[in-house]
Amino acid sequence: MDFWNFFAKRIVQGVIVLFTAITIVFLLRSVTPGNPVDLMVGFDASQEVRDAVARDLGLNQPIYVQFLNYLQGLLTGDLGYSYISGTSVRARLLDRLPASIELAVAAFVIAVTISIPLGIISATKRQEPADYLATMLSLVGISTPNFWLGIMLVLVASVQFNLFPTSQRPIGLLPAITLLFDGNTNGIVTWISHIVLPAVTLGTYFTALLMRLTRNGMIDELGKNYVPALRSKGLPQTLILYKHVLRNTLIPIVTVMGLQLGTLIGGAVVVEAVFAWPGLGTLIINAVNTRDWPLIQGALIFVGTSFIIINFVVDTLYAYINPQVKYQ
Amino acid sequence: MDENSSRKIQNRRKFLKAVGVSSVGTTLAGCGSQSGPVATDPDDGGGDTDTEADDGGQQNGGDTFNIRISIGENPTGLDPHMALGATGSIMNQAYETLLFIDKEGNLQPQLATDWERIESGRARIFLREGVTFHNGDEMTAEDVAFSIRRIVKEDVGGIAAALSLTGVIDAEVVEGEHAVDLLSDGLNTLVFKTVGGGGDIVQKSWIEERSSDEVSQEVNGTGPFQLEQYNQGESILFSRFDDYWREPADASEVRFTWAGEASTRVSQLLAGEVDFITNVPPDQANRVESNDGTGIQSGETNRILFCQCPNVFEPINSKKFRQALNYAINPQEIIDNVLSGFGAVVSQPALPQFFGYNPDLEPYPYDPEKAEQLVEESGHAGAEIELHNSVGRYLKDEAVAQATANQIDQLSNVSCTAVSREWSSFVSNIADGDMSNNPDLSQLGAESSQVDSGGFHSTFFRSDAPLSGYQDEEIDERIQMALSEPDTERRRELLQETNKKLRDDAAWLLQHQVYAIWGLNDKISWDPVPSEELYAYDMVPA
Repeated sequence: MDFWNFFAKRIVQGVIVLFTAITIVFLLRSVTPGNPVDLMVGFDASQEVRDAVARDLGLNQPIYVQFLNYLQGLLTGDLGYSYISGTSVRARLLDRLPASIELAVAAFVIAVTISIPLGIISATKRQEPADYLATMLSLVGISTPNFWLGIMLVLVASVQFNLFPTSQRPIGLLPAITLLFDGNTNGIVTWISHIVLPAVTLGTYFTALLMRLTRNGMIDELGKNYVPALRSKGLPQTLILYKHVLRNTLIPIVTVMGLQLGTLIGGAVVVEAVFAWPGLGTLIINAVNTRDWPLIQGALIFVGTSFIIINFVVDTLYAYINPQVKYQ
Repeated sequence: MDENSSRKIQNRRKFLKAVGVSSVGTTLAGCGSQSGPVATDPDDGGGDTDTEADDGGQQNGGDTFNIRISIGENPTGLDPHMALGATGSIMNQAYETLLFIDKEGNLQPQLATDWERIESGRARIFLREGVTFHNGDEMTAEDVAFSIRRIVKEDVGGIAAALSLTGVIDAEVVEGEHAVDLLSDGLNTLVFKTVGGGGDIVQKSWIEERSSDEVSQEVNGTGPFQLEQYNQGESILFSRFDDYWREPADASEVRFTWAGEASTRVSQLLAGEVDFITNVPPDQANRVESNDGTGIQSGETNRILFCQCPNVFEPINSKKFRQALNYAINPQEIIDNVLSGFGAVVSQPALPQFFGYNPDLEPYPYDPEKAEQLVEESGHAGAEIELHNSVGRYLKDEAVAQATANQIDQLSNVSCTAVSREWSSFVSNIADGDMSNNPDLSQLGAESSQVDSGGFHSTFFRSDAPLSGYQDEEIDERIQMALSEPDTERRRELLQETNKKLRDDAAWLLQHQVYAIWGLNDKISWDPVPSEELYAYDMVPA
């Protein structure tokens, strides 16, 4: 099957997945306790007031009517309006998306940059001190809770030694880069100084995970038959390592990376809380707590779509790297 | 019953309903000590156009007094009439109300210089001369009438905003005078208190020339600070308004940022990135205090932490049982151990600064033996009850609930467990108007923004209020009497008597008065107010 068929098939699958997800959300709505009206009007409001607000939000209609209306809106790209703030859901999500992407990608880059070399060193110097050290570090990294790590980093690096700011995102990456083109480095310096701690915190688990996967995968590969075969062919060790073994090792790891990246985008709630990073995670949690259904649904579509896209890219890459795999 | 009196009763009922609806303002809004659930985000996408380079740690030396404040929720926009939570506290710097309520609970002039009741349903507010908006225009009676109308009549801010000025149904300019009349449906004893707690004054022409989106992004008020820059999602910067009708503020710049996590705010203060933070958790107060260059300020609030006792099912419907619960708990111990001393015991469902507070009442003493005896007498020995609480909504709510339930559980003939509830379903459970499915005890925090027992009773003790947690005909009558009593002293007496009855009948499980804790950089001198409002105007160089 060629690429375009694959692509089309993926799109159809994606739409089905999203549709199922939205349907499930609407089913949940009818059984979930808690009511956005209660959270908007304050306790003292009379029943008339509540009914008025409910009418305003369209909540007095039966659930399947609301469902159909929502789907209809989706077709025109209208994600509806937040119950709590009355602003466009799409606008709110787009507003938060850059922050989440920056954080996820930064964490991803840090993780990959550290873990792969570390994993290789570990695998090639197996059972030596370097390996033990790296393995122990990765164990610590996997077991350390995000929340604790983040706060510790702030206490030490920010409060004690004033190396980094404690929190917030005063400038986005794109504006910072724009400034750079004008010859102003302040923007990018600010951006970097603010993203280091949160990205390190968010990326720690991922780093540790990747490092172990790389190490174990590589050890596996090094034990395979083709390695001594290549060596006897006269290839230098570095070439064997990086052109052949590493590539084979990374193939399954790429899939893991893809899944993780998706999680990093929408699931960085704890890090966002500690560092006051204005990302999607916080938005979603608040929406759930206030039963702001349009926002919840919109976020679901956003995050779901990004997962679908990422997985598509991953699978494409996979087919590209591994000639044995065809588009299916 | 003849026509006349039946109509009077109808009017009274209608009025009661209207006044009963939210005369208590932000009542159960959490103090947002940990990330408040109602936190929302600024509207409208668009890129971040902040070009501010370095927001780094060090403050300005020299003579400029700049203040950087970090609060716990982010604002939804800048429209003062759409103030949910954070927007309100930020907009306090730029917009003002006609009157304000001081820390003793007394009304003070602000944009109004005098006030009087003309007749039942008409209250006159005399306006101050020489007040200018940030754009240079003078405040007129038209502007004031427009502002009130915008809140109570239009759909701006929806129902939530309208509720903050309850009882008021319209406003009109007084011919030939720099004054405005507030119209209510029948006698509104709380009308002045109501414009002391809410009703920001905006300029009519300024609002009318703008779309609602624009109003949400710009500021034109009478307050001591004007908007310099609004970076959605990041910060709000104010600068001093030199033509303020009082002395101009000491601070030349005030910047607001927000961080939901209390520990993050504390770190910001300790690292010198901000000068003032809200809601310091009691266990971190020491850290802030002992750090060089920072300190805390703590103060009483207008908020009480209590448990609702729905007296419609067993064993809660037994007065002796409820009294027993009040004897069984030891609020001072909880204040000392769970809240690090930040709190005060209460004697009634009112605080000393509330109008109608009864100074002759004593708190229930801690007396577990008496409690057990009362339980026996009530006939409910061996009862198993549950205490439901929120998590992160009020300061240390979960810990306090667990300690309280534990104290009750110590009784040999009662067992009590604390159950943590997710806020939204908790609210729906309690506020559905049906008390029979309420938990045995529901821990909540409530404040009176009007600092007045009249409205407070109406919200929490009237049997047909949606938040109805108590049913007692005599209490209903007393509440109604007080609400329609025009004579101030007589009204005070009535409220005091009601407070006594509520205390003696153990209508609530009384826990404590909530204290709020703020963190300040030593360069700022500032005293907290019970309403927990934040006025940068009151922050002066130390």
